[in-house]
Amino acid sequence: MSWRVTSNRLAWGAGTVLGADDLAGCNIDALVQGGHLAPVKGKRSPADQVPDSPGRKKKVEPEQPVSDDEPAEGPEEQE
Amino acid sequence: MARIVLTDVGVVLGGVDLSDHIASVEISQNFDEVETTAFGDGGRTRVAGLEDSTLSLSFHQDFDTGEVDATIAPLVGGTAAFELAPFGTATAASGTAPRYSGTVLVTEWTALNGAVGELSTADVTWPVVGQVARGTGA
Repeated sequence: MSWRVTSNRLAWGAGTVLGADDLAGCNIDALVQGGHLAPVKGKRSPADQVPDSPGRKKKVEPEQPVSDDEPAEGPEEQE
Repeated sequence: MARIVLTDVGVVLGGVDLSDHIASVEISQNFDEVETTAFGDGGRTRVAGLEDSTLSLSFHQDFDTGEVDATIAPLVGGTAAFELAPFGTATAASGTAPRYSGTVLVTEWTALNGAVGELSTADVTWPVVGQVARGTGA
């Protein structure tokens, strides 16, 4: 777990990412509530940051919701 | 030794430097007075007992994110480390620029106080948990 400094009132500059060891002895919850720290989500791997890289599954677009006015998967009429 | 006019006292609470929103500070170190008078003594004798110190601060209230109320409110009912630097936090501790540190129990918080036209302030006196340390960088 790590936290990013979001204020200018801590010993570290804004934007600094700190680990639990750096914040030993601090009330982390209070610092987060006070707007001095923000939790940093886990790092993304480099492969995840390359769009459409080979071997990477393309993002599946969500299907459009089926309207009640149109038949969903009914057989087409034959003339 | 030169006399001191306080202009830049550094006050750090829970790791947060709130010096620019504090107008008054007082660290009062007190000790219980334990009497040790015995037969044969011509007068009462005493020794120092347990330390019972307090930290008093006068805040200028500020409700912005990361400012006074947002910082202190989550600490109420719990403890917070403090550090006082008489010549500012940028001045290293030394024999002539000591730093006082310890832990306080945040027993009170007056979030809103003041009359019409006055600056909103919050005056607190918090008991010290344990002892006050005087650091000289040595």
